[in-house]
Amino acid sequence: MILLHAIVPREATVLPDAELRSHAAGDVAVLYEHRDEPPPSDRTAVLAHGRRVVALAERMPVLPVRYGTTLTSREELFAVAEEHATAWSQRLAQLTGRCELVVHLELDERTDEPAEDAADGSGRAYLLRRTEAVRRQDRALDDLRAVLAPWSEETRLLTDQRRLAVLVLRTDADAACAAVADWAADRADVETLVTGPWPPFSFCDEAALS
Amino acid sequence: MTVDRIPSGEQVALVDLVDRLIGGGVVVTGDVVLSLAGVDLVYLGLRLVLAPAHRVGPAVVTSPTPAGGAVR
Repeated sequence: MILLHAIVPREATVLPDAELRSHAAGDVAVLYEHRDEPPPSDRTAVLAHGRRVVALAERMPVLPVRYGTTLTSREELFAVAEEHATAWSQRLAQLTGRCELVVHLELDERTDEPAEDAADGSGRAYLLRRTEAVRRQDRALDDLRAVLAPWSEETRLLTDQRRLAVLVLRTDADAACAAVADWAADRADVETLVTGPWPPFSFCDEAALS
Repeated sequence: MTVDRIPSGEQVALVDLVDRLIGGGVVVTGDVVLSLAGVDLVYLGLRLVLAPAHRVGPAVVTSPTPAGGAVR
């Protein structure tokens, strides 16, 4: 079987290791490797794959392929590459020089706790507190997006609703991190942490490629 | 500002990397095998793994991790 790694510009011919193969289609090349078995699902293997993709992204524009994506044959690879080459090429051009930052946002949850004087202890009171907590989180995320607006070209709220993926120019990554730090320092109810720069994992989904 | 909820930057970075590798990236439709469980389950699982180390670890960094410094 064939394990897909990433899509890169066709002219990016330098491969980081001997295991990777390249198949060109249109203006892009698909990096892949042959495997006898499905890719392992343990954390060590996923991280090793990730470091390889991160290293690629430091050298060239990259669309990382979701880990574990395998195809059955080279013929299937050729067909998939042919079908998507144009969309991948366009997205690669848009992402050139960009990277992803992941901003973790944690709010002080004291208002979520039952109030000492909440004698009713009702489900209604609980739901009201939870509603307010969600609103606070939404407001904080809106504030965070506004703080990052000078640098972010796109954002994605990740599935846990507490992390914001932000697409920025690599040259702006430090400034964006500093802006988040300054914003958090002014708020006693917020914790933030930024990881990255990453390849644009969150910005090559189906919507971005359509 | 409290400092006891977000694990250290290095741990978070590794979780983010695994999470994004599995939950992000190009999705190719067709006869594709995704060998891992759903993203949310994996992410939650890793958070649970991280929790004990976080509780016994040193004080936590609450300012942004310098870009690029977390996983290399």
